[in-house]
Amino acid sequence: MVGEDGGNYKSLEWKGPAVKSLSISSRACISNNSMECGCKLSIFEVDAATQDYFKTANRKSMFEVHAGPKAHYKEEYEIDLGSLEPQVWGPGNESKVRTASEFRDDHLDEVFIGSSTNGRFEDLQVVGKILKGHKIKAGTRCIITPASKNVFERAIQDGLVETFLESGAVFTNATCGACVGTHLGVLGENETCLSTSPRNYVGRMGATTAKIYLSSPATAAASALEGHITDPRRYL
Amino acid sequence: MAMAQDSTGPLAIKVFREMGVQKVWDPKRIHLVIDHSFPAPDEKVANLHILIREFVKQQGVRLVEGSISHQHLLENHVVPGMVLFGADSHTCQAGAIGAFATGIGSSEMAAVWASGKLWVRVPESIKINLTGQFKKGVYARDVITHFIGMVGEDGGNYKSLEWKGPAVKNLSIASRACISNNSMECGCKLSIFEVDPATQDYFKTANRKAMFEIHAGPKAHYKEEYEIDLGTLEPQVWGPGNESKVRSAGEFGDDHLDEVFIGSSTNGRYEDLQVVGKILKGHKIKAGTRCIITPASKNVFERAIKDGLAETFLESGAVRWLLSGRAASSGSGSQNPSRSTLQASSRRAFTLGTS
Repeated sequence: MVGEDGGNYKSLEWKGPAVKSLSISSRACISNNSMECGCKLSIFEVDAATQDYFKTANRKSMFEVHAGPKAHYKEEYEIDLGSLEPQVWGPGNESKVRTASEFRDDHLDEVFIGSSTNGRFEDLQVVGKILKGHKIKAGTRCIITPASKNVFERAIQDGLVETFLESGAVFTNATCGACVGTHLGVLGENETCLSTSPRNYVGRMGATTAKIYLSSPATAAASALEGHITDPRRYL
Repeated sequence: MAMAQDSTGPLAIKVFREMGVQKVWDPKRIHLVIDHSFPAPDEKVANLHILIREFVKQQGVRLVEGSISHQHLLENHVVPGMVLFGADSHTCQAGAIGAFATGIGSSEMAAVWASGKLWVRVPESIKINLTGQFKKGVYARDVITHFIGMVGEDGGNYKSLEWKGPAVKNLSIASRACISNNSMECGCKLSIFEVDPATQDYFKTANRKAMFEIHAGPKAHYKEEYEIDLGTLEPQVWGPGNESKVRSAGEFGDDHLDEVFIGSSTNGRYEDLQVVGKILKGHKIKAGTRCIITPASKNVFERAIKDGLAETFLESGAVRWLLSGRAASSGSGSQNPSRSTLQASSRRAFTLGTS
């Protein structure tokens, strides 16, 4: 909608009645990936969910930032979550953002689920729900990399890793992994990948001839089962 | 049966194509295993993996990604009496269950793919008689480290090692595989255990049948004979350098360890991880030392998770490289140690007693 430079040096403030229903993991996904439109900050106000998160993490806030009643905004947007379809960012710039069902022709050599954008426990739970009882498509490799040691341990304790392995996916240690193109799933020449990582510029995950699509973990998991980009709703 | 992995396979594919042969001799008996670097650590390796996958598709041969070749074949395909050539020196591991198994080069492998045949000079035999019972804390790994320390790095050159004696029956298949695998480090061609009830049990659960059993005849002639009393062995450590550096663990206490690596085709089996779990449970890895545990196969990996071993490792502070394959052992992963490093269980350079 805003483009890759649409948030240049801006502070994005995420507000509105739907925020309360977003988990901290979901907010972290949004704040993390906001960088891709050039923003300086991407902020959610502290609310009951934030307080809960802090209680369990045994930390105290320094102070809470809230927008005042006379706050001035350079730009304002509205997104009705109910009108959204599963989104995919195709190789290239922001003009390539489409719904998942509009991209289905390419065979996927690799599906990477992880990164700081979408390697949290909540993400792996959705992936487990979709993969359970199904097999990764032959000819597609699915690599799942948790975002932290904590996520890694919970995924083991919760039986998610068994589900991943039974489906034929590879589960790695907690690291940036394939996202940065330095290990654990680097792309070779002319390969096509669907990734939950934040970026898909040329050569990001390996070969400059490789194509990288970006999506949510659910879309990625469903696509790993089909071998091409797939709307996840049929598996949910 | 023939096997090549992702380091040797690409060259074998190149040579095979240069030979002008259209089809391999028997696709069902040819295995390609992506185990040295998986998932791909860089673009060059990613391209080699693409080459392998294309060859597999074109020829209809078998492909496995993410288990160490030797462990994968042992768990799923090897049978006693089989002849197995692998483009990897530790192929001799399959001798643990009575197969004629040995490593060859990539170009030889191309010829095997083309013809199903290979000329091999019959090796002379060395008999090692194992007696006695292990003391606490001593394992199969200590047997083979001790043996190599005794005969030297070329002490078994082109020989067939035959492991015999009353103590063999107490060695699990995993322990025999450790010995057969690591035997390569004294230059042997083969390293064989005869089929016995433990082998038969292993086969029953793996749902395979032996081709035939190899047993030494009553008049078998041995070029050399050794005896090892397991009861006299201490935990063995192979120091950096040659075989003269094999000592008991108690003699090496000074060096700080930057890294401890537990895994490889020599010692990345479930039995090994069980011992590691027993030792790590309730303790913490020393600050300043990183401990990396890498299972040898997907099967080992799954069992370690189901059994709670993975949790024990993590609680102790060990980094569990939750993949099989040989990243650290062969220096082909992307987290290569950069400083002085000791490896706990891989075959070469610096080796400690098992687990």
